[in-house]
Amino acid sequence: MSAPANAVEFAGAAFAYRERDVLCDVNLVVREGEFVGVLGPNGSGKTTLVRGATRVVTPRAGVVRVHGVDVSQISRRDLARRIAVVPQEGVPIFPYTVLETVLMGRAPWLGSFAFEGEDDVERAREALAAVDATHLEDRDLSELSGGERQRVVVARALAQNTRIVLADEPTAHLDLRHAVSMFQLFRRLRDERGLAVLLVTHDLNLAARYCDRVVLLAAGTIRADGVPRDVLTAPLLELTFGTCIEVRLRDDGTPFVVAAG
Amino acid sequence: MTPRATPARLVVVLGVLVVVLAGVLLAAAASGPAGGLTADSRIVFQLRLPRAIVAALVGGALSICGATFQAVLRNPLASPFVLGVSGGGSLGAVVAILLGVPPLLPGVPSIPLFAFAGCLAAIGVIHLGASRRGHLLAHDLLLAGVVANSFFLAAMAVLQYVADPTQTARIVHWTLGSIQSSTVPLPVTAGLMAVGVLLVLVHANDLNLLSVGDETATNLGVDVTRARRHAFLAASLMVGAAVAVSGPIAFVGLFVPHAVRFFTGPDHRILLPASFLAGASFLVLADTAARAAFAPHELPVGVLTAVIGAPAFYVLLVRQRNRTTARTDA
Repeated sequence: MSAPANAVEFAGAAFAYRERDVLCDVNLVVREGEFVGVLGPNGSGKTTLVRGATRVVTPRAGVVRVHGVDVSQISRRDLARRIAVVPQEGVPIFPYTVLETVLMGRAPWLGSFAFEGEDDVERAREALAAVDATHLEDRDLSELSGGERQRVVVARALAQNTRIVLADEPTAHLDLRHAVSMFQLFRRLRDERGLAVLLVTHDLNLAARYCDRVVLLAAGTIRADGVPRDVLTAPLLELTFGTCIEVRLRDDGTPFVVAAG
Repeated sequence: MTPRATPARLVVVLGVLVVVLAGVLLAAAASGPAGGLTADSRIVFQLRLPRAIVAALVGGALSICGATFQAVLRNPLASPFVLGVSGGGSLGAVVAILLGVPPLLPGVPSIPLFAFAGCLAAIGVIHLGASRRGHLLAHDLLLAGVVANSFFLAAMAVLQYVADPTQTARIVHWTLGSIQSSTVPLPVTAGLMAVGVLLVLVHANDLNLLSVGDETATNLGVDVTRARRHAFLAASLMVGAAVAVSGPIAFVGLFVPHAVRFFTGPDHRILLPASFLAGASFLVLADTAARAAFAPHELPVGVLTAVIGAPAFYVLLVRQRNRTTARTDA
């Protein structure tokens, strides 16, 4: 059996905003059917990693490849058919409904003045069901709570029907139940559809439980990259986050992290 | 909540608005001191109807431009005049009035020609000032536009100061905005508007995504700078054509898109064409009222739209607010 194909690959990639270096010499591969968590302190470059994969920022050095092709050679629309992004924020200035918002995920597959068909609507409704938001369908996006809105934005990414999903802190505003089911959802997408998932999060324990690999970013470089048990160790985390941290092992061997203060 | 945008809904909404527009045009052609439709057919077909059609084109263009600028700038308070395109046009018109330029092109007086040239120059300056390393961001465009507009207004003030009283009266009348003084050949105006409308409509889906945010639009496959540039240029071209014909007519381009959005919802595939048709009817009605109110004298329609536009806009915003509050309370 051949190894799964590379979905996203950073090869010696460096990113900077103006003169300020944000990420240096990043070497990272996310394969098809792999669920990778990205962890690290504020300002360590996690969001830039997501932006680099979608060519929102272009590398100052090195190369980023999607499905083996240099992203600078892929058109915007083609890229949007390969990668869906769950961004941190984005509230429209006009009162679009939840269903209209999720249908925007179909845009890369539509013509310039085209309307969505019945199959697009069906896909959008499936995506809403997957994030437990079917009941919100007719509400205005601006009236929703932060957590509800976050689930709708995830649904929009699912409706995009891509092989790669990049999620930037998709559980930041979620309650415990929805945070757990969000990780379970991404795990299921990886298991059932073989998607490549890269998820930025501050929830170390859910990442430990559901991710295949976790990547620890610190000050613009990858400090560690491996299975959760190898990366989520007290010395490494204390060094990275600069606070007292306790790591216990659960019965199945998954690490469990507590900020001891 | 309004039903989501489908081709069927588009047909229904536009069908209703076309019928309304036809009725309004008929009413405009039938109203006047010289009698209704039974008046001399030359009055109906050579005076009233062409004037009503010009009013429709100007009102439609300003309204679709307002809707476009609101999405392109991500600012619901944007109007077609916020970026100074019309300011450049006004400056051009003032120069023509001051210099007393004779007609340079056969059939086109110099004031609309200079106004249009002023708009084009303003578009170029604003676009240049807003572009940054190959990107065109909403706030850069707004900044460049607002600065350009202030400069044009200042330059106009200087020219008005040196103008003689007759010239000043003409300048004031022109800047109030009226359909009455329109002297540009109708096919030219209609052609420019048609090109502008089509170019904007092509980006209807992009404008939906732009109003969510640049990064989201990018991740959904939109070349953000290209879409914003095209929409800005197409809308500005229409503003230029409208201002050249009628001067800057206030409030239509701000009020109509909001009123239409209240009924159709924010989806630009319906909002844009509906704004055009609704704005067309609105300005034909306003112009007919301005013509009839103080007959035989005429009120510049720009005065009327400004006087009724501001309170109407306020009422609309309050209703919008109440609708949202009611739903949140429920």
